[in-house]
Amino acid sequence: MFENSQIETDNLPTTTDVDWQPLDPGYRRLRVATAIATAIVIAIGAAVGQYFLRRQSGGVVDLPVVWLFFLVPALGLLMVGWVYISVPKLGYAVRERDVLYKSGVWWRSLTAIPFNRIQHVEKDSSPLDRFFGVANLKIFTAGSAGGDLRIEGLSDDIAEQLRAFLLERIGSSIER
Amino acid sequence: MNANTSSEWQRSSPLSAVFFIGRIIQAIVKNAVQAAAPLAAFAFTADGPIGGNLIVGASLAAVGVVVAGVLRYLFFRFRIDEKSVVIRDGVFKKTQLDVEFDRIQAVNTEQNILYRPFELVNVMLDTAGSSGQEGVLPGVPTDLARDLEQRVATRSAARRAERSQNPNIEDEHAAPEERRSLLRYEWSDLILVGLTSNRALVFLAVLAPFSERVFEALGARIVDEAVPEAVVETLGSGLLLLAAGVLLIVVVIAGLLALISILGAIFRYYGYELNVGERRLRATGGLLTRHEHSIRHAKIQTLVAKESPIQRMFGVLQFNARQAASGAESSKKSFLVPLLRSADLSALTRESVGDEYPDLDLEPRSGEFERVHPYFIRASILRHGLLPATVVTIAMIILPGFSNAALLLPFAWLPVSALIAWRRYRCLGVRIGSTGLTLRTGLLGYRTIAHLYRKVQRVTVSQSPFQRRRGLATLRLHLAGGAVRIPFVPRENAESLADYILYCAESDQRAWL
Repeated sequence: MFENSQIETDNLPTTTDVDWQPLDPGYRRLRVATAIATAIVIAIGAAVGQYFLRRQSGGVVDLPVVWLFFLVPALGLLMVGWVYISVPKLGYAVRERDVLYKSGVWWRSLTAIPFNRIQHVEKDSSPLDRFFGVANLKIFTAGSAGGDLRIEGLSDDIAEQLRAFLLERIGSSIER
Repeated sequence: MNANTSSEWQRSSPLSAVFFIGRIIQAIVKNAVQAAAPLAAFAFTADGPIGGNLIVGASLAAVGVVVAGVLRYLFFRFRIDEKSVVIRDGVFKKTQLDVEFDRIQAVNTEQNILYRPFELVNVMLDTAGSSGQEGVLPGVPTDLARDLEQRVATRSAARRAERSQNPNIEDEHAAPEERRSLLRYEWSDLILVGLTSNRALVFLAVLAPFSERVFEALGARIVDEAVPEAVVETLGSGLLLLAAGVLLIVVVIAGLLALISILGAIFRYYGYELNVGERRLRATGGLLTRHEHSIRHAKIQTLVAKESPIQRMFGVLQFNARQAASGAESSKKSFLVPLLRSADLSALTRESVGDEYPDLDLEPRSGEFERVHPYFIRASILRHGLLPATVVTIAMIILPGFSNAALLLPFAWLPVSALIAWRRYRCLGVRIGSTGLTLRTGLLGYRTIAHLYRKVQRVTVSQSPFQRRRGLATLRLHLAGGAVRIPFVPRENAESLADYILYCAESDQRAWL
């Protein structure tokens, strides 16, 4: 018959004291590079914009070009600083029966997916990812309208190992 | 064993050509709506030989559609094996679809008026996900559908048994109980279904942009033609008459919409009967086309009850049992009971998850729901009131042409948003059981959603900066048939509930799908 014995809720494994695994150092380099590139693109855009503004207004609006020399480093510094603050807050952990992922500096979140609920696992990496030696893992659960869990910035080896490990666990734990 | 289910290629009934013709017309309509408008305009404006040619063309197209439908019937084959249904379809582009029994969530049928004397049905094989790959067997005998359903159920039970030797696992067919009727719609119920459906509102929303011009034109005509001079003189004011005319039109349109909605309800739910037993819910109904829809208890992911203000007025609710489906598919795959009373609702929930979640009560206004932290109100006003008001005001400052007094206008939204936030807070409540939880949300009406912990797919605990300062958190639970969000609960509670739910999902050996 179906049994339903009571369990000690105080002794349940908790998600709060977990040994979090950091992401690959390459991921931070990748994010720093993207931040700097973005700052430069914005600066170029601003310079072009200013050029046309000056021409359109017939020289009435004429900001000195010097501000670009301040804007680019300031913007770059902010964005790179953000990378250094936010990336250490990302982390994952693989427990015996589930995989955990945490993220967020201000808006923090922790997501857990039991192995026996994973539908499939996908590893992807863009050329830029590969240049920095990182890969991303996407974990799919059934009928998820709110997007699936994506762990970015794992080292390529670990991503591959994790993928194989998870696939093996899905196979052994699935019950239909 | 029935000869119909031997594993040989079979054909469907010749009548199924009608089904294929219907499908082809559907496809044409779906793809050619854009092309149809200019074509129609062309047909109307052109006179003489071009118009005649169009009629010839249309008849040719109609003949083509019929021929294509018949051809598809002639080339359609299916086979029912030990483990799967194999369907071969297509005249030029041939496809073979292999639907395994294990993937079939439900065997649903529909019987149109043409099929009825011949005891034929269209069988829809409901599988989880993948909308384009649905298996349909058009025009097959009713017995074959019954037999197929039985085989799918038996197969699934057998597989479950062989998969695990765990004695705790319940056997779906351990005790084949009698099927019994839980609910039957009378004429008055059908009218209520029509009146309480949201379709009427949708029609109104669609009509809104045109309404002004329609009212203008119709109102003027009514005043001009339908009202005798004497009345005009008596009332004295043309303006008053115009208002009365507009009111009349609004009433007539509302009445028409209600009528359309009621007619729709009668067509879809005539003779509706809800059966329980054999560990499944089963509904049949329909005036011309009879639909039979079923859901196995084990496949239910979430249970939802809704009560709109109109439904509350009549003391009725709406019930929905959702299966695993991706977002776009979820409404198509759910088991909807459009109208039921409180007593029926509790009988229905007891029947579907009663053995696992005995204290489940979906009725939104009975029993106590635990409130979330009142901080929810403030956060809601900040996000939905102050933030948009500020953004709009800043935009008004940047854009020229707004007076200083006008800049205050967006903040009139604040009291409204506060009222909404307060109302949402009052409606929001959760009942946490030992095997599952029930969440109630609402603004004007109510919506309750319940699920079993063991069927949860993914758990997220999140904190905004404000929540962190107050030691609060938001718990999100993703299920294969919808998501549940419990905001502004003490962080420790959210975390321990998350841990407990993970324990339930991870330690459970039973099938969740």
